[in-house]
Amino acid sequence: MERLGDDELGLVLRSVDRWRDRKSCARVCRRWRRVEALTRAVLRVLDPHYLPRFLPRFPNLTALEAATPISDPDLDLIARSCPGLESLNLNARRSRIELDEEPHGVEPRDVTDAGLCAIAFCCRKLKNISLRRRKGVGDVGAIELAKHAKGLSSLDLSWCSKVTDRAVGAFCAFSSLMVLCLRGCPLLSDSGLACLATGPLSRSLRVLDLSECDQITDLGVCLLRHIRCLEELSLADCGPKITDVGGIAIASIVSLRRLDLSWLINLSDATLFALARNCSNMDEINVTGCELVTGAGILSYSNHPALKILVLTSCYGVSAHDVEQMMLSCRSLRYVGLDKSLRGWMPSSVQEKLSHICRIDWL
Amino acid sequence: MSEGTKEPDGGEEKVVLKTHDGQEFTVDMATANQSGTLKNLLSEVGSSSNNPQVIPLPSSITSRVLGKVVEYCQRHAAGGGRRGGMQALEQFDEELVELDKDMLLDVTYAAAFLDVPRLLDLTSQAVADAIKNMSVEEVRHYFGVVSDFTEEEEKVIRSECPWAFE
Repeated sequence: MERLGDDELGLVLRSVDRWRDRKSCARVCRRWRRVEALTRAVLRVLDPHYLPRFLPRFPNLTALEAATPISDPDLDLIARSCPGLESLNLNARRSRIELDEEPHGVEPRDVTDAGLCAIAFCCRKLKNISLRRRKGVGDVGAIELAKHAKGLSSLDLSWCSKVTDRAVGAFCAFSSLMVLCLRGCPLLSDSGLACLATGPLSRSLRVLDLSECDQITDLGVCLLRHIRCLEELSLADCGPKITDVGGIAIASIVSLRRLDLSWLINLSDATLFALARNCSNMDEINVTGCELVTGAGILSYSNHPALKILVLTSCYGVSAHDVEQMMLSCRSLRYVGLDKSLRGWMPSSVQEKLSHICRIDWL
Repeated sequence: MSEGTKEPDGGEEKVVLKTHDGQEFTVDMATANQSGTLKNLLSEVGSSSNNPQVIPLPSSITSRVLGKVVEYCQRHAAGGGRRGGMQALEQFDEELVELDKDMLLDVTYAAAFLDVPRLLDLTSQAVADAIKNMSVEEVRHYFGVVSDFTEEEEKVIRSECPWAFE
């Protein structure tokens, strides 16, 4: 192999993408080991305890992933070792951190704002960062991120329950952020939403997940209509304070393609009428558990030009006949998720006929 | 003289590539220009149809190897507009790198030396595909590499804890 210089060997190793193969390559000889480390772009940390031993060999990582608890000194090491990082996925596994299954009740120290600040300061090329269930992360780290990571396009702070409106206020300075997930951030309120709807962020944002943010009301939701290019929005489980006032306001975002309104119990047909009329790009809508929705609301999607996916479990005001009528007249439909309890009300001949139109799941 | 100019008699500019084992490949400028190395060189010295420039190549590029590279460059100089378009060109690329181990490594070296970036990508990918699922020993054998790790280094490698990252 001495025929190939380091550059060519590097090219070969860059094309070796499975970690098992890369590991074999790293143990061939000194030169291979060095070139493998230099060309490694993606690394998944399984046990951060050993991070100081192996991380410094990989200065050119662009993506790093860790699901275990990971400490601030670890994050600091990552920040200093990998300045070229573009993607950092620290989504924590549910079992250890959220469900508190540690047998001795002593949890390893997990990342806090200090660790996130180190990343924000050193890794200026970050495009994607996911911090799901990192409960130690709060406003300070998030604000620092907004200050430094100017090229960020996707930020996931789902279940980072310490995050408040203050952090969201800083996000409006992001000019390239397209995806923002704030699911299960219970401290978020209408004034946070007001920030999202102003500034450069309101022009770049495409995907917004606010599910389980149960403090927000119609007041904040109405402001979301200023996010002009929004394509995906989730308000699932946002509670009873969102009504048709908010729903109708959202219907003025004509770019919407996917919308999750699950369990908004005060939302009714009026919202669906407005959505069906205005949002002609909508291809997926979920109204699970919207108890006030009736057949009239669902039938407003008859002849809709784009709708592909419709989920309406636990909508007890919708009859089997309404569903049948709607499915027969909405040509674009590809998938429908229906309540199990509706199945008994639909003759099997009708089920057979509808199954030729699109896929039906009884949920 | 500059590259790309036609001779007064209308003849196409040519260049002769001479391998160490004495074979000569006469190619037109469009083909030669697929190689960054030749393009640079020819922009300095120029060539003509009556008196084509002869470029000697290092011994590691045998005539068999150069034949492959020239085949690639000729086909790509013609572009996708000929013989079935881009799809045919892609198929040509695919078949070109179906080579035995030594040829593949030699063509990789030649593509690097002659600076033919897309051929180098192709062969690098083919080499990477070849070592898929190989053990350390198999990789060493495939490339004829002998481990130069000291016992001490082997120990360090093991202490890195293979389960700690992937």
